[in-house]
Amino acid sequence: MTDARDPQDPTTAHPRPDFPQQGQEHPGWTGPMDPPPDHGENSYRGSGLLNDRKTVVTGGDSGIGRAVALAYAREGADVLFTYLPEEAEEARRTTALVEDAGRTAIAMPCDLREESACREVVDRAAGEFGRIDVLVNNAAYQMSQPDGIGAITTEQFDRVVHTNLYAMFWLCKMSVPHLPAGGSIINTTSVQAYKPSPHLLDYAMTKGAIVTFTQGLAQMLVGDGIRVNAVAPGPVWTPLIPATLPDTVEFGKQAPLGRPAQPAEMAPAYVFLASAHANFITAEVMNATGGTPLP
Amino acid sequence: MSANGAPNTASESAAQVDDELFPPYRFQRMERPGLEADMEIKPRYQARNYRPAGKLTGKAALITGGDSGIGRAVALLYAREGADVAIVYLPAEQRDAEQVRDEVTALGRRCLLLPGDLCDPEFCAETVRATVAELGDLNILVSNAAYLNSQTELSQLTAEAFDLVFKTNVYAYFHLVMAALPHLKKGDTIIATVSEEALKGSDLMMDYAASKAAVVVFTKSIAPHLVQRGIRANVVAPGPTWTPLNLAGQRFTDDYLTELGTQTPMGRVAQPEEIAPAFVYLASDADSSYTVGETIAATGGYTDSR
Repeated sequence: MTDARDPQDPTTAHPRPDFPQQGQEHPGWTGPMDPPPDHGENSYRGSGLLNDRKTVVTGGDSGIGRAVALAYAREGADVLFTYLPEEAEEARRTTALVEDAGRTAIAMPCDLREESACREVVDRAAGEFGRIDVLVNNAAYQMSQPDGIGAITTEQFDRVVHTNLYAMFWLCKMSVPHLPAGGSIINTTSVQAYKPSPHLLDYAMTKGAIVTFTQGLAQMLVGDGIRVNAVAPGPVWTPLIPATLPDTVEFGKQAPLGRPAQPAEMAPAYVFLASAHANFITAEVMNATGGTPLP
Repeated sequence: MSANGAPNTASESAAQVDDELFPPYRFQRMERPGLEADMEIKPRYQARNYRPAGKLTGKAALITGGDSGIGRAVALLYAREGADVAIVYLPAEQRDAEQVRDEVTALGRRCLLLPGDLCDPEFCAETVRATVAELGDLNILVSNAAYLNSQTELSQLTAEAFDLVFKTNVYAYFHLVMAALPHLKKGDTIIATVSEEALKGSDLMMDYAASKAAVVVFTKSIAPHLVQRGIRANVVAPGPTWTPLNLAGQRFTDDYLTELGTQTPMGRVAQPEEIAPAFVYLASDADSSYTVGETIAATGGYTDSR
């Protein structure tokens, strides 16, 4: 963290577009990205907000998930995170960041579209940690569909729904028995939940469902002392972007702040919601959109 | 459990129940404006389990309504995060204000007391001038003071009260923002306090709800302009909170007051110390650099607020 005495202009605190045009194969990798994403490696400073918490973060190998894993570890938490098998190199980097903070990292390669994989994740976390204090459903799939609804295949639709919704449902369902009072679930939704882009029709639909699921599950678990909230990021510079969107040059330029967020700017919302600082906050969606007005 | 009853850990909060925190609350009714010093059940504002991290080191904050309730809790957290504070309050609230000054001073920070009536635009400007003159800067404007008005019937709405509500809750915010703008620099922030009623409407607080809704939409509307200058503006929407506001001069029934907060899914009121961390989050570069024009609702689980 920079010293609070140094004024931080939010418009220039991180790179502003235009960026180089860059495309990648899905799922995308951090290394080739220009500018390189900032996960808070040189800035995030913990203050014991999550001391000895046991946390699970899906999609923790890169992007927002890596930034959350790093922040949680620096706040004193152990982190189990999932990643796709082809992202093993990314996962090693996240593991190193968590271990550098003096905390335990458990990296699990898996495809969360399978119910059995979600079961293995929860069993492993419960087995090694003894409990799950915080579950962060962050892994997501999107792929730009520029040719209209007629071109969206059933396979594409199914992949989006399984990754973004079924996995969240299964992980919540399986984790609840291991979540103590004071624990919390944090789901990642998106500005797309409120302002769907036509080319992300299926993805945006799942993000809307995540908001509703979050609010409903929060009601269901409030009596157990478990809080359920969501974070709605605007445009964030992660490997998902060059891997799934055709244009990277002006990414984030349309936000009133004039640039995309870096993953490091999203992680504090996940820390805040997981911590006792948010004791009275449940069923809430924290938007961080760079000024794009949302409901 | 710490001395003020704040839980030290999540598990402790679940294990230890403190009767004062849950309804039914002991009945009390006060005259306006209502002093925290006179409340029989004291609001919890000291946040002893809060972990400061130097997030506001060297900043100067102007907090209206900083003498009591949520504003008091914010003033103390800001001081613990390293900020000097100026608090604005009504002259009748001097005792509450001095309590805040004593506690901020004990933390080694400065606390400027600014008694006056925010319905006067010139006084709004004066609070900004005095803050800059005495604290040397203005980095965080928290527009938090409010006039709460309640009605059980439509016929109780009056033009005079409507005017007072909007003068205090909306016009004062506008005048404070305009007066502060010449002093705010890149990285500075504006935070307005609204209420769940701003998001849901309220048949019991019609003019108040409308005024708070105006604050939300005004903030969302100016935020894209302000961020061009590097200034972030956001809103906090608390649910029912244990402060003097509800007890002072309202038409609420006795049962409403003893059952305050039972409508929230959490089934209780918030304590000011549970709302204040959101104000730190929104004031801190390290936490919320991409958060602009947003409302953080801390309502204990309401879902009809979006």
